[in-house]
Order: sequence, then C-alpha cells, then structure tokens
Amino acid sequence: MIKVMEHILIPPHGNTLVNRVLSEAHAAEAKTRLAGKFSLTLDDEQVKDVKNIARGVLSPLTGFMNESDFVRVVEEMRLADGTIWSIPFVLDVSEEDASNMNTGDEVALQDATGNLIAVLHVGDIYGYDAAHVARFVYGTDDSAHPGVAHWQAMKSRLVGGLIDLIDNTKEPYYEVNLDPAETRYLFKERGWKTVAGFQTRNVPHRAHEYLQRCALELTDGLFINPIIGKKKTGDFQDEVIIKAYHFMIENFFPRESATFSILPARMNYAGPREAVLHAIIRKNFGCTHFVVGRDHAGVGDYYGTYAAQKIFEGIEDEIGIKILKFEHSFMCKTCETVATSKTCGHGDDVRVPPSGTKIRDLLSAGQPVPADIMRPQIVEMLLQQKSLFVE
Amino acid sequence: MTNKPVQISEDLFIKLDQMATQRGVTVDQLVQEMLGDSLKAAGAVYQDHDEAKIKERLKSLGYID
Repeated sequence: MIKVMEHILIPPHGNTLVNRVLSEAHAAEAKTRLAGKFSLTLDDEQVKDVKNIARGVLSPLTGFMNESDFVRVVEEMRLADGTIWSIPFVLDVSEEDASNMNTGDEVALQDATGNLIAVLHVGDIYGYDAAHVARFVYGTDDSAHPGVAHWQAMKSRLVGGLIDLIDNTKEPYYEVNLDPAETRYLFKERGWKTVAGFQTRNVPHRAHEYLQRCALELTDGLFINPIIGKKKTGDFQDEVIIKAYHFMIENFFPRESATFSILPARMNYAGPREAVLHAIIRKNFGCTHFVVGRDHAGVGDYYGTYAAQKIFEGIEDEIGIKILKFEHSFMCKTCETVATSKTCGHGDDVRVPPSGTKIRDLLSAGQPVPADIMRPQIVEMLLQQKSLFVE
Repeated sequence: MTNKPVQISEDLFIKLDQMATQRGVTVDQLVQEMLGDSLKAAGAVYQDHDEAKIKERLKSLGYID
C-alpha cells in the first residue's frame, strides 16, 4: 500500500465558501454611506435569504440572482456558469421601486422594523413570468401550492446583485445558529471525515431517530440541522424543536459523534428541487452525506413518492454529496423495532407510522404519545413546556 | 485545512505513477494538482473567515473544548 495526500474537508458548492459579512469597521462605513439613500424593506424570509447568502450557507451565491442565473436555474437547474442550483433566490420589487434603482447603485436593505441589514449592489433589474417559474420549479402552476402562491403574489420586477451584510446578529437562537465556516471548523476539530446531514422541521420521534442512527452507522458524525422559520398554525414552535433536539443529543446520542445547529431559512415546498437545495446547503456546512426520505420537502400530492430521491440520479456525483435514500420508517409491533418496508416483512396492520397529526392531537390534549411513536423521555420533556404549537 | 496521508492500492498507485511520469511530476504533486481546486476551496474557508474567532465562539458555546 502507498500513502498519498487526502483532503478531509468536502469543498463547498462551487468550490468557494462565500463570506459577504462586513467587518465592524466596514459595516460602520456602509451605514454612514447609505444614510438617506434609497432603501428597500425586506420581509423576514428575505432577511433570512440575505443572511444565508452572506454567511456562505448558499455558496456559491454572492447575492440575489441576476437574470442569466435566474433563467438558467429555473429552466435547467443550473447557474449561468453551469453549477447545479435548483431554486431561484431573487428579490422582488415594485415597478416604482425598480424605477428608483439603476445598475451599479448601492441600495440599503432594511427589515420591517427599519433596521439596516445589508447593502445591495444593484445588478440586473428584470421581469419574469410566475407561471413559467412555477411549472419548472414546482412542477405545477396550481395556486393551491404554497410555493406557486408565493410566486403569484410577488411584486412584478426582480433585482439581482451582490450583497454585503451589515447586521450579522443571530438572535434569538445565537447559541445554536452556526455558520458553515463554524460547522466546518467543528467537524475538523472532532476529526470527522464523513458527516451525515439531517434535515427536519419537527421534534424527534422514533422514525426520525431510526434514520439518524442509520446515517450515523455509515459516517463519523451526525449533523442535525432543523429549518427554523415561518410557521403555520399547529406547527411546533421553534424553541420546542430546539429544546427537543438538545435533549436528544444530551441524553441519547454520543456527544462526540452528533451535533446540532439550526438553519433559519424559508421553506419552498418544492419537493425534489428543494431536496437538491437542501443537499447543497448541507454540503456547504461540511456534510459529506445527506439523508433524503420519501417526499422530502413536499406538500400535498404534487410530487411522486420517490421524486425527491430520483432527482439525484445523474447529478449526485456532480453535486458531490452522497445521498442516503430512505423509505418511510415505522414501528413494527411484530419486529418490535423501528423498520422500513425494506427491512420489515409484515403488513400495515402491525406497522405504526409516526403520524404527525396524532402526535399533535395527543400533546395538545396534554396526553402522552405512545412509546412506540416517540421516546417517553422526549414526550415528558415536551409536556413540561408551557406552549408547544404555533397558534 | 488538514492533509493526512491515505493508503491507496498498488494498482491505483501504478496508474497515478504512470500519469505522473507522463507529466513529469511526482505522484503527490499529481494528486495535489488533481485536488487543486478542492484544496484551495477548503483552505479558503479559513482564509476568508477568522479561524480564531470561530474557535472562540465554538468554545464559548460548548461545541468544542
């Protein structure tokens, strides 16, 4: 056997980990420079986009997409330079706002409270066809689809351009909100050569845990990375998800091989296209593997059962992250363990799927969730919380 | 960015050695060249981000000792 070089960090997508966060001195200069200048007010989801771009979560994006990137991403799932990218990241503006900007201008981006968030270096200002975008990105133009509805409600013009982040605050969950540079450092410190990323939006139940453990059997480390953000009524509150995963890692996973950080980001419900985005994001965090279950990031019946897994066929190697594809998991009363249709030969009559509705109904009534669906210790911790769900 | 030696098979080494010989470089140089972009990118993580700050923050949050 012969020894040659090995690099242990997976490169970020596009080979550059973007950092568009201004230093304190440059941020102060920018604030002075932008005082009194034209500004755009962003909603909470757009602020998340800006921060994720600047912190490298969406590498190699360095700003909102210009027209050439936008068109190719929509139609071919690639940036203008050919790099695979599945979801458009754009800033919509009104005709009036568009008329106040020119390519090359610096525009202040502020949040709904008037707090200065970032500088936008205006690139292309262009129009779009929402139905065209919807058909390519979401596979439907049905306005009942939340992603399609979002595009239909957007303002009429898009503005692209580089972003420089001024406000790098990470509240309210500073302590569990790591940047890709930080997770990469963390993985390196722990000596993990292979890391499985796990996407979630819920508190952990047995089926989640099964997938997480399976992934960890194949890799050196497990990176649980729940998306935190805009919720609908009945969803678990962000704080509850964070507490539940803290509890899970503190009490059940080996601390040296599992870690956790949130991802404040918008959900597009774009099914297969979103699965690709989620994989790219986890690659940027330093993950070498990513768990994709059936119907990943889907909504309703818009996507085929295996669409989110099949989309990786032919592009997985190019993206550069290994996709761990799993079937739906459930507790089998006969096997007396969590399994999938791949590993359990029994019928539906003895399989207990992790019903989100059932979990929600029981917890809302202050009742314990059966132990074959969720760990009693997690249930007990949840029932101690003052409030679990978004109202 | 950490580089660690890795064991490869004789067969792969022979192939790499043939390629390296054709190009007039050593096998290590060839591998470096093949990984060039990746190595540069991985190194860039710490060129563009303040490693000491990252370490301090992760320490203060209890992620690393």
